[in-house]
Amino acid sequence: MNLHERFAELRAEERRAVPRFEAMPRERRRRVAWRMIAAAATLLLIAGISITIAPHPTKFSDADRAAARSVAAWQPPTDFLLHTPGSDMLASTPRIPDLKGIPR
Amino acid sequence: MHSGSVSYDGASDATKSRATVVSLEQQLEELHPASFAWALGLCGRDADDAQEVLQETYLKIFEGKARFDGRSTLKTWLFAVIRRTAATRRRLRWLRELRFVRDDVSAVPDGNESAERRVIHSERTSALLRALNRLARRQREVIELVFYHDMTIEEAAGVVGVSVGTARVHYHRAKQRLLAELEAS
Repeated sequence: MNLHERFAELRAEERRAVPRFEAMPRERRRRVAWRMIAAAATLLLIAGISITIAPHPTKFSDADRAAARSVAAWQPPTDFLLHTPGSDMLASTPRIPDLKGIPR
Repeated sequence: MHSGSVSYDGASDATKSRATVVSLEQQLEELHPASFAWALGLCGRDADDAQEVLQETYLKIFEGKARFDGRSTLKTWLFAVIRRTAATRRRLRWLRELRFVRDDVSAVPDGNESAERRVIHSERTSALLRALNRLARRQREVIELVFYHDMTIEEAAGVVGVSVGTARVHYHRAKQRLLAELEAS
């Protein structure tokens, strides 16, 4: 039995089914990967919600603290107008004099 | 024998690159019938499957994912790429089938087989194919490369990715078993 002959017969039969070379694609058809898009959108949504919900710890920098101190130390230029004559009396409690020995 | 290297002295890089692509395409076209037959053998004689494997192989080559480095003949390299592509496809199909089994859906064949693409074999060649199918995968591949594609055992070893000694053992065992099977049938 000649194996070469048997394979030659097989080759001749199968040659008829060979598709045209020109019909073979030269570049991949770009398919929209809807699953990938949906997965990416879901991830973005989850990330957005997490950022919104998560508590944000307040962190002040040295510059923030310096700004706050300067605001607290600021005095308006018209502040002197509040110092009216006799305003010291309003800021202190009057002393009641000792009435002993004073005839009624 | 095909070689992938073509000399284009004095041409610009773009011209050289285009000429190389054209030359490669021409060589692929020359090898196309043999490539399809090899893919057919790797896909259990399913013409649609073979065509898809070949399409995927060509795309890999045109996209530069598979590059011919000239260490073997173009035919040996191309056949090895086709073999790897078919193996990947087989693995993917196996995984998909596993999922189908678990889901218990889509397991019903749709009866949409393209009959016109099926290869029609005579009784004699059908007997040969039945005997071939009884061989181990590696043995079948080596014997097909030698008898169907007229390759040497060394070239077949390069395609299958085994040593020449191993390929020789596969060849002898496959040949003996094939002859025994054919005589028995």
